[in-house]
Amino acid sequence: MPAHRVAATVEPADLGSYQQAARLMLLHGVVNETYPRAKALALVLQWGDELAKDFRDLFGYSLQTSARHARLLRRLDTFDASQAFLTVKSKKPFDRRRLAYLCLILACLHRSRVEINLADLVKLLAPSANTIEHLGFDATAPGHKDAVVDVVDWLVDRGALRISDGSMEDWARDPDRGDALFDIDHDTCAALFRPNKPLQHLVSAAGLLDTPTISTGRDPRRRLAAQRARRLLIEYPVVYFGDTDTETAIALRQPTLAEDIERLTGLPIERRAEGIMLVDTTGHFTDKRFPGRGGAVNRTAGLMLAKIADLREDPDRASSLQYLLPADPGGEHADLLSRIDMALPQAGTLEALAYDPHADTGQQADEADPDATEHEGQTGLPFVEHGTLEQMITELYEEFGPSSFTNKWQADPGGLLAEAIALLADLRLVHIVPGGVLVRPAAGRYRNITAVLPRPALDGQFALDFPTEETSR
Amino acid sequence: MFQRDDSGVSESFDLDSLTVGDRLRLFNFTQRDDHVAYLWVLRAMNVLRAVHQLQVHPDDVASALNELAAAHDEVPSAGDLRLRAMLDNLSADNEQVLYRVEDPLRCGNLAAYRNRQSVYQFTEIGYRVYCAVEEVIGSRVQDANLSRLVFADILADFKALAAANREGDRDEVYRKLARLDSVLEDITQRAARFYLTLNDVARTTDISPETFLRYKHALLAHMSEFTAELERYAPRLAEAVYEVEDSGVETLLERAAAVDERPMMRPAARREDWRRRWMGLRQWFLAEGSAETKAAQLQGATRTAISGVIALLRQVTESRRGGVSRTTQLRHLAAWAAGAPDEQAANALVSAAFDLRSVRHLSGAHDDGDQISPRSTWWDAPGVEVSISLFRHGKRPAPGGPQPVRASRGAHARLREQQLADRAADREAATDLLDHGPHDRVLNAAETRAVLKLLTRALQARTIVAGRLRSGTGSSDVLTLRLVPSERGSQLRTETGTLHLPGFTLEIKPHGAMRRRRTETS
Repeated sequence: MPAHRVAATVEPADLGSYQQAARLMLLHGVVNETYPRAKALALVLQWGDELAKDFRDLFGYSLQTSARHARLLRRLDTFDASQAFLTVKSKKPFDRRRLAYLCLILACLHRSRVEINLADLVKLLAPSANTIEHLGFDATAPGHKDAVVDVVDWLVDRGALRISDGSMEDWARDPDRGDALFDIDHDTCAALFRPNKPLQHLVSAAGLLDTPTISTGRDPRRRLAAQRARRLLIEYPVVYFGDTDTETAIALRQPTLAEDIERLTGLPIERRAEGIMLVDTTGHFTDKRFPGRGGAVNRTAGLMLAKIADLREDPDRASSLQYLLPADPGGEHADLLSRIDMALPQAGTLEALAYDPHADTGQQADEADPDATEHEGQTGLPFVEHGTLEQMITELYEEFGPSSFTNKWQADPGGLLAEAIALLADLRLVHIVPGGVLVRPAAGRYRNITAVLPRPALDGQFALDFPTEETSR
Repeated sequence: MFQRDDSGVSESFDLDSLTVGDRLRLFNFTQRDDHVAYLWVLRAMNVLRAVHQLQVHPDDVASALNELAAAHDEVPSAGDLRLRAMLDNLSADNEQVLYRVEDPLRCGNLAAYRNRQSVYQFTEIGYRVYCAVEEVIGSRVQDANLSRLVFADILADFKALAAANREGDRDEVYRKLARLDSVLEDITQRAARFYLTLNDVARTTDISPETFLRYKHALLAHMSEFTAELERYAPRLAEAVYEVEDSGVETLLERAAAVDERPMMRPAARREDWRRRWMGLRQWFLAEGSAETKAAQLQGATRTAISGVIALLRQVTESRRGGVSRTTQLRHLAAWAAGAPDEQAANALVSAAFDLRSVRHLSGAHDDGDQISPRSTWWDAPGVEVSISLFRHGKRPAPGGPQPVRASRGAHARLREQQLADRAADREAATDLLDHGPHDRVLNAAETRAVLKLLTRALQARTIVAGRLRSGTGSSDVLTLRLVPSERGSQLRTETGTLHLPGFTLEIKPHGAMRRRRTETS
């Protein structure tokens, strides 16, 4: 019996390299000769077999490797509204137009041979886009060409296309003169789009999720709960026991769970009374860094946490804080799912082959143990009203000076606040509710930022407004 | 091959006098309102022609139509058609698909003569128009192929042609040349058709992936066999062409033209025609200059086609999985995402459908996380260390960018000169020291500096053995200074004062002398 379940055959000296490969795969999902960087594929292929085994055993994910690419196929337990495809240059999430274009362009590429130019691609794209209501493609309409450029950029970044001549900027400026020629990497194109079920067979997006085969036995249920726990821990920033059902919470508290994940990723696990998290000490094992590079949003999010901590620790004001119970995460997920299903194009669905998850879940609810789905007792979270948040951001602008929040946000504290709160919500540090936010426990990790904030001087002047005071400290 | 003669000389007795415009007008019937009925009339005419009934009466056409109606459902009933008017239209002056000839039969009475009807017959070109239309309508994908078996015949024909030319058998020369010409034209036609059909299949494969899959092996085998055969025969065919040329091309063409049975062509034109054909044949198998042979081109085309078919196969097999193709899935997803009520739902859907997502984690770890109880809450446990400058100034502490290289050659040169001068002075002082010894005189500043430097080295190099200090040495490139233990001790007198050295005296030797001595004694 080997000492470790994870990376059982990996020598201690190679563990670093193994963990690096594991992190690469979990972070990017697709790795090929150029994406995310030149040597990445070689690293992953070196550990291909071990990684495939560990991903399968720990998470039920499958890792597929060929000489040209590696692809991690996840099995999702829930939809995640905070995941988004980002544009390569400005790192903004794709809007619906870009998402639809991405699908259509991939479909066009699929039918092409080894090369395609942008003009032809658009010629193929336009009719299929025009068949979709409210989408369409019109080179003269504002935003349509930019959307194509962003999508193609994304594909080029992922190595699905390689630009061999011309440039997209020329095309965007003047489609009659400028053009760009691309080599198509069909392997990567195929690897990018890997739905786990044929989409036309779905009558609800829930079919895309991993629904375990129904089993009433205690052992299989426990095994599934352990798998779910590991997936939660590896995918999400913080896992609160209160958000999960009892079995998963028990699995999350197992010491072997942390041991396995720590050995796989090489990153430490932090346990607290409210939950458990994997701490990213590399600064790269995440798609949203926090506290990360000094972007205005990131920084404001941190400062807001500090302000909130101040509020919570101030004996005068803390007593006035309301403590509310957060909404049931299951209910929120159901809401997201229903929003997704609202748009399901009925025309394309093959009803005969369709898979109906509701039939299954109904059955499951009947047969499952009554205590299996019971949630851990949720505790009240401090509620910060929207007005208080606005007051906080105004204070921050006064203390630091608007110019320190970059040109973009200088005159828009409200917008910056919204972005910062959205970031914190994505990071599971706050919970957005109507009228304000609920502060989640892990926000307490970052209350030290308070110490670095300047204290308002008694005379009403703020420390950082005067450089002389800064030097006198 | 259709070719107009630009010389202005009227060729072939002026029978080809129809201009392109006139000829295109022959297809007018396909544009009429009831073009299908016209087609059926012509088909009926063709049925009659097949039984050598060349001149037909409208009643004959009607009965032929009725016969066809028995076999095919879509034939219009002859009674509904204004058959006579249709036939007249077809034989109108500007259409001329049919000839209208007055019925040659004797009428016998006036009424019958007044009622006399025309009979109709296909014109030669009109028949071709009909055939062309039928060919377009009736063309099927199944017929497309590349014939690999034909190469053996071509090779044999070339050999026979050379032999016949050598023997002077004019008829045989003509026969073989004509056959080669038609066979190669056939190959070209087939190849063109085959590749065009493949393109069609590639464009429209979504409708019949099953058919394609059923035939994919045969198709790939067919193409690879064809290339293999072509490759195998190409050198031998080229050789055969040379052989024919050796037997005399001009005579060959003369002979072929002499036997040519086209009476409506002048002999010179006939010879030119054959020359053109021969050049065409030659280009098939022999490269001229940098241009590839047509055989090589065909081979290249086949190779491309094979890769195309494989690409197609990839698409089709993917679509077979689950019965829906990737393309339609992607379109379905595009419509789904485009219709989503908000961006978050759209992104959640697409990232789940692509099965692409990323992990997300918070950073900032405790240095000694084990010290903190896992039962404490996040608010009670100590907070993590965060970079102060990040939050105070919005910047992370960084080592800064690389500084520009400052090349100050003048300063370097001055420093170097200074260094050389210092070294020279040191060396001079060391030489003086070597000449005069350290003791019993006043050392100047330079000598003092040299002695002190060596003394430092010697003192640092001393080792303690069994509680006793042994002597040490310090050396520069000029001299070696040795500490010699002595009861009396010694003094160094310098310009600035006297340095007492209790317990040892100094011994100065040229550099290297000390070690030499040691090796000599040992």
